[in-house]
Amino acid sequence: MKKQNHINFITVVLFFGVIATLMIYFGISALLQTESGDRLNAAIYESDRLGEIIDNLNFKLFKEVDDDNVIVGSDRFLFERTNGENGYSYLRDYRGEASFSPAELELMRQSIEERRTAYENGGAEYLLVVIPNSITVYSENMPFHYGKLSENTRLSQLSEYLSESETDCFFNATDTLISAKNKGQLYNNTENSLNALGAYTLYISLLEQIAKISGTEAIGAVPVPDFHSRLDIGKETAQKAGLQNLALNLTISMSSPPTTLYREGADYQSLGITKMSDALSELGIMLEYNDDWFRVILEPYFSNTFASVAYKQNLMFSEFANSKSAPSIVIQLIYEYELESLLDEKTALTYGAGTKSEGTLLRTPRPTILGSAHMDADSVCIFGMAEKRSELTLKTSDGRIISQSVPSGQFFIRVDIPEELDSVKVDISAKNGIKKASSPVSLMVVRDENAPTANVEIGKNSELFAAKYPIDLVSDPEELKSKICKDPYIVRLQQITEKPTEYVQVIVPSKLTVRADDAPSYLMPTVQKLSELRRAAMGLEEFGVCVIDATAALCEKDRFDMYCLTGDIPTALGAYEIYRTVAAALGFFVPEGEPSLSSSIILGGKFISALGLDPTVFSELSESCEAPSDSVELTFYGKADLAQKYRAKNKNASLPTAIIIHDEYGTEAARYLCECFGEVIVYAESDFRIDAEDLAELKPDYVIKIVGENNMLTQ
Amino acid sequence: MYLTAPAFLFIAFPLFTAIYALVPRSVKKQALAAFCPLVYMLANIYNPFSLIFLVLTVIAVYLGTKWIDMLRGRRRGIVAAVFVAVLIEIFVSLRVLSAFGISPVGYPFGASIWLLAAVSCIIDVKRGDAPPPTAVDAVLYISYFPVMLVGPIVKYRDSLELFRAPEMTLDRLARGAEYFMLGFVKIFAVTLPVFDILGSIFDNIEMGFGIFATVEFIVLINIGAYSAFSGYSDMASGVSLIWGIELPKNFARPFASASPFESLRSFMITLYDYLRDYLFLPLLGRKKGKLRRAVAFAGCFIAASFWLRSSLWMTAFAIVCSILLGAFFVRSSGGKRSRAARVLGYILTPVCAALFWSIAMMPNGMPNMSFFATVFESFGKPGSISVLGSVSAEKYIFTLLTAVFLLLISERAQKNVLTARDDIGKIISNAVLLLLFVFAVFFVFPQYPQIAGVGLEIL
Repeated sequence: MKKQNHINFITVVLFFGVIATLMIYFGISALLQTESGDRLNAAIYESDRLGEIIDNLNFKLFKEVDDDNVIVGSDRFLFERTNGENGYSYLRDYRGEASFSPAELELMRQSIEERRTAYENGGAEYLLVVIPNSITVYSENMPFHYGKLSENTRLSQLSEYLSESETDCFFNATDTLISAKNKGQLYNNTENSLNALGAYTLYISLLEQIAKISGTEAIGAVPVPDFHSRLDIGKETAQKAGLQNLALNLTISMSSPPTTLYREGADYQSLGITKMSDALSELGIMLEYNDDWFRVILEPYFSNTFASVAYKQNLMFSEFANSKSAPSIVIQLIYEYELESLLDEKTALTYGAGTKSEGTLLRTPRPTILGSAHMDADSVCIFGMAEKRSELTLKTSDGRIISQSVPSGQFFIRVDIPEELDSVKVDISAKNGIKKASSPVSLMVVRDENAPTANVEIGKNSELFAAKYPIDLVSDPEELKSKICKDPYIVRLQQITEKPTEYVQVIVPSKLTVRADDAPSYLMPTVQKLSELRRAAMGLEEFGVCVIDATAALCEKDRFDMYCLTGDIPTALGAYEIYRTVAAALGFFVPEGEPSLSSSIILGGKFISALGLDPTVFSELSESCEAPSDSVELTFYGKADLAQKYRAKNKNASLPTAIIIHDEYGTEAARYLCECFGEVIVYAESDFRIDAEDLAELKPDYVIKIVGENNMLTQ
Repeated sequence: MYLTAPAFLFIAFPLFTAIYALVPRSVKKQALAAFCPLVYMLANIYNPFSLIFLVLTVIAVYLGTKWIDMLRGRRRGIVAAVFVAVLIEIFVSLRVLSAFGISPVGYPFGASIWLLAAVSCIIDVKRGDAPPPTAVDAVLYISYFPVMLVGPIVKYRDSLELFRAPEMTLDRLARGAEYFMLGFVKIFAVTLPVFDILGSIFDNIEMGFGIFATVEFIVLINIGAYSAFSGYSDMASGVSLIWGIELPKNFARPFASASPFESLRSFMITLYDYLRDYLFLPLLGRKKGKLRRAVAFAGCFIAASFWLRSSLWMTAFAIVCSILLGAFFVRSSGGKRSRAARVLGYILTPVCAALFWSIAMMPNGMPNMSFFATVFESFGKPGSISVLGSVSAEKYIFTLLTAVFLLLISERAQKNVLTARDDIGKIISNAVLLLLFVFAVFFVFPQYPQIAGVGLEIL
């Protein structure tokens, strides 16, 4: 009985001891709470410290995390159940529960073949590479109760199907990576991505594939770098679960990266190009991917191997990218979880540009729809390519007929979805002169209530305009005049240069002014306002400013290629015309006749970006003209880009000097204007603050400001 | 106040227990009668309807029983019947209105228990089984909050003895602590993880149900339901024991039942006793024919189902089941079953119980046939869901081992082994229980803020 009492006593003491301890601990925590409300509950349920301890214990004891989407595997591996971006279920695919249907597999095969055809038409070989998920390569690290990796995953299904249908432009990297696991960890354990060692393994296997495709013998590889491993804070999957400090990442990186023998070339938003002379291979490669991590891990290897490597961060067909990089082989890298993107209609449409039909002598070729984008919830802009100077006819399923001219070969048509309908089917056919109309091409456009309103309007002749110009502030031209002229700018300027430096203001009209006939009628008041704005700007002459308005010169040349179709700024040809106007006005030599023109593909203009599209994919056909002479040498202060600050020196040093400031309307024209001067400093686009040091050092004869008419107020 | 609410666990309970220990034994009952309504008032300070409703019930019971006691003959029965009818009508109305979310005043916490208590008081006084309550008795009996969630349901005539002279002894304190920890661990270390898993199963039901998953589901839902109800019940018994009141046993061995009847008798014994005393026997009357027995049983089954969960699904299911069980009752009563039949019964009873609790978990509102169609189609699908997938294997195993351990020590408690001398098992089980309690209170408790204020709707 005594022993019994002892046990009872100890039980009671310990029980009440625990309760009393918690009472004191939570009580003090509650008292220390600064926020009002239920302090006790907050001390227990909202305590960061306690939460951290609980998360820690949960992870260590039960291998559980406070995120239903994360699976804790062995060897520090974290896996995701579902991809948050595209909804792909890693787990269902792992179990073989997310198979593709035969129809989907066939569509994928067709998509891959279409890609191959598009690139082959441009003279490049094509290879699609699929990088397996980490859950596939490290399936043994999955908790046992999820079972083994199914033999019926989407990737194995597709591999098998493509193998049976003899599609050889496909490479599944699963076996390569699995067989290389003995060399070390190939994936980051807290993110579904390859590490440096995995990237090197992939690089070596891709070299074999490239050699096979290009019919060359083995391509020399960058020597195996030294790798070292360290524990870092957890990567993306760990961060999503708030475990970055607990689930550490075994990072494998190069001890010393290979010597960079290549140089960075031009950079066009989603496209970057590197060049290397005396490369191990003279081939030009274009790597396309969605995840920019591929560039980070593959660039040290690829750029040090091939003469030219283009890195493009999307899988859409881009004539611009092809023209800039001229690849021999295009390699598209996708992760296993992105396989469904092969069925993406928007991506597939872009390949129409590479596989477009040629038509016949008697029949107009079918137009190619490259895509569509919402201008607002119930208006869609359809764009594509058709025969130059053809007329398009668009018939909607609700009986409307819309016409559009295609002077340049690229078209844009607006389709409004009636209030009572959620979607409209459109059939577009083209007809050129006496040729028969083409067969129609169809597209379904669907209302999207969440689509933002884009500042884009489509006019006649497929011209894009801004729906709103930022000139609403201009109510009174006189007010503007006083605003522009009140600054004693010129006086200060001449004090610094200690000479009668001439200040020249060049007004570049917007496309709306020059192509007003093509613009929608509701923009006419804007045209009027812009005209008033220009007149007001002429008032600057009263203050000793030389004002040159290029409007008349550009309007005289009634040509479609003076302005970008997809933007508001002049093309190279338009810029050349501005140069001639300015040179003539200032009394410099003006080249006679037409410049030497060449066709080129330029980045899509600002209206493409306004529609939410990638300008490298939705590029524009344009004509560029050569520089008038080779007597000017440019020296860039930073990146070799005309939009950046540079200095130009003419062989003829006796010419006057100048500083040119400009916005995007004057970038190209500024380059041409360099021909007129012995030495010029051209400032970066939209940088209007001239350094006093530059003025004092160069002592320019001219300071020239080249701006768009609708930008005069915003500067 | 919920026994799992921080305000109770870490403030009201330890403070009152300390004061209560110092109060002379002769006034402990009065201290409890003052403390219980006070705690209820504090807990429902933002829900005055509950408070007013409780006060009115206490007054009605106190005055009503005095009146009934004064009456004789037929009038006594009629007045008692009116009181009971009104109380039941209020109970049914509140449950139905709140089940459909249209109650303008919500559902008063504990009304399911105290309305049954009020009915018990009226009937016991009418029958002459107990004297009318004093004011203190009425207040304490109706507002004794530890039992307000799931009982044990104490009949009025039994309560007089239980509350007569509470005495705090070391043995009661120790057993109370054990019961309390047992219940707490059942709720936080078993019920909640199990219901997390079950929730995940319901969420992913379209993925298919293999045989293994079905067996797991049946086991888990039985464990979950048992540990949820017995957990709160054990905590109520534990608190009461610490305060010197020994409440009646509420759970026996529900998993060792060879038929649904046995299962019902061992699951919430006090509810079974209550319904037997106040519903089954009056419905049976003096003739005790088989048909009448079946009808009485059906009535009790429907009432119990409604008491547990007031939803359309549950009511419809209870009516169908009561007819089937009633028919079975008629056929089988009095006969002895073979060993094979009993073995089959042991297997089928958890299946029936799983079905019962599945229905109890169904959401309110109109039945959705597509749900059943999905469940039906899901069984035997090759790519079936794994119950394990919703929690880690480590947690799953820990939860099951804890459940088994708690079941074993619950059995020991029921057998009163815990009081035996020199019981090494007791030392080990108490040590493990204490560790589990610390684990549950430090580790699991802060993860479930919703439990601080959740009642039976946990299901």
